[in-house]
Amino acid sequence: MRPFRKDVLARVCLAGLFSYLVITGCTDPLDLIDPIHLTFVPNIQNLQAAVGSTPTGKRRVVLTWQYDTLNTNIRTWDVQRAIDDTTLAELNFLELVRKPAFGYPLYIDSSAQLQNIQLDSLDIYYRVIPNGDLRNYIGEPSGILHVIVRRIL
Amino acid sequence: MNVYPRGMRVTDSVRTHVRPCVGTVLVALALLGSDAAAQMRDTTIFGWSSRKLQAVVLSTIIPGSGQSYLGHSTKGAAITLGFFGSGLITLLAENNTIGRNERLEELRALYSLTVNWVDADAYWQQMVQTREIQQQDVKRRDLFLKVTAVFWAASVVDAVLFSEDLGEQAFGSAFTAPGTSMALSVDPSRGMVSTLTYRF
Repeated sequence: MRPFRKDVLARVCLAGLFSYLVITGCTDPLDLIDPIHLTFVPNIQNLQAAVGSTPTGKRRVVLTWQYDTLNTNIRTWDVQRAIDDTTLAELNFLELVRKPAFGYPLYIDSSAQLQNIQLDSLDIYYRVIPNGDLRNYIGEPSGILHVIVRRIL
Repeated sequence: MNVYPRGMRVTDSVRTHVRPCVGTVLVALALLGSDAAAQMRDTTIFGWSSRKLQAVVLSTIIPGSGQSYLGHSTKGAAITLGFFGSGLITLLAENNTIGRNERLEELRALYSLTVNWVDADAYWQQMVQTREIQQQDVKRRDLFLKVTAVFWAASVVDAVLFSEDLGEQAFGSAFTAPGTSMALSVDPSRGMVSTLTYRF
C-alpha cells in the first residue's frame, strides 16, 4: 500500500479550504447611500409668471413659486433671466429673493429691458435656484419658464 | 557471558527464533510475488488502484488532470478548460466588483463634499449607474463561481465513478494513440524548446 493517505487527506483539506475561502472571500457590493440632495433644500414647485403693468403703466412680470414649507433649510432664491436666448449660458443672475416671513415668495421684474421693446414681443426666460441655510447648499434649479411680453398689453 | 538459558545451545536458539522468522519471510516473499500480492500492493483505500487514487487526487487539485492521467485526454482537457475558463470569468467579475466598490466609495466621498445640487445629482446618477453595472458583475461572478464548483465536483465524481483506467502510455511513443501532446526539451543552442505533436 502506498503511504500517501495522509497526503490525500491533506490535499483534500487544502482543496476544501481553498473552496471555502473562494466562496466566503467574495466581495459584497456596497449599498447606495441615501440621496439627501433630493430633499436637502426644498425645490421649486409651480413656478408661474403673470405679465401685466404697474399702476404707473410700466410693464412687469410677476414670478411666483411654491416650496415645501416644512423644510426649513431655505434662505434665499436666485432669480436668473435670459432675454431672447434659450441657451442656459445666457441665464444671468437677476435678483436675490429672501425667504418671506410667511406665505410663498414672489418677484416682480419691471426692469428697463421690458420697457423698451423694439419688436412686437419679447421672449424672456426665467429660472429660480434655491439656496439652503445649512452648508450654503445650492438646491435643485427650477425648470426654465418661457414668458412672452407683448409690446401692446 | 552466556546469554542463553542454562542447558540451551546456539543451535536451539536458531531453531527457536530464526527458523520461524526465515519461514515467515519466505512465505511473505512467495506471497509478494503472487498476483494477489500484486493486487494488494496496488490496492489502496476504497479498493482503488494507486493510479485511480492518484487520478482522484489530481482531479481534486486540478480538475480534468485525473481524467487525462487515466487516459481520457479529451474529457480531461474539456474539464480543465471549463474549470479554468469559468474560474477566470469569476475572477474577472470579482475584480470588477472590487473596482466598482472603490469607485462607489470615491463617488460617496465626492457626493458628501459637494454643496451643489447639480454636482450632487451628477454623482448620484453615476453611483446608481455604477451600482447597476456592479449588480451585473455580482450576478456573473456568482453564476460562474457555481459553474466552476460544478466543474470541480464533476471532475472528482467523474474520476471516482466514470473514468476507467486506460493504462499507462509511454509519452512520445510511436504507438501513442491519436491526439495532441506537448513536450519540453532543452536545446543548448536555442534554450528551452517546446514541441507540439498532433497524431492522426
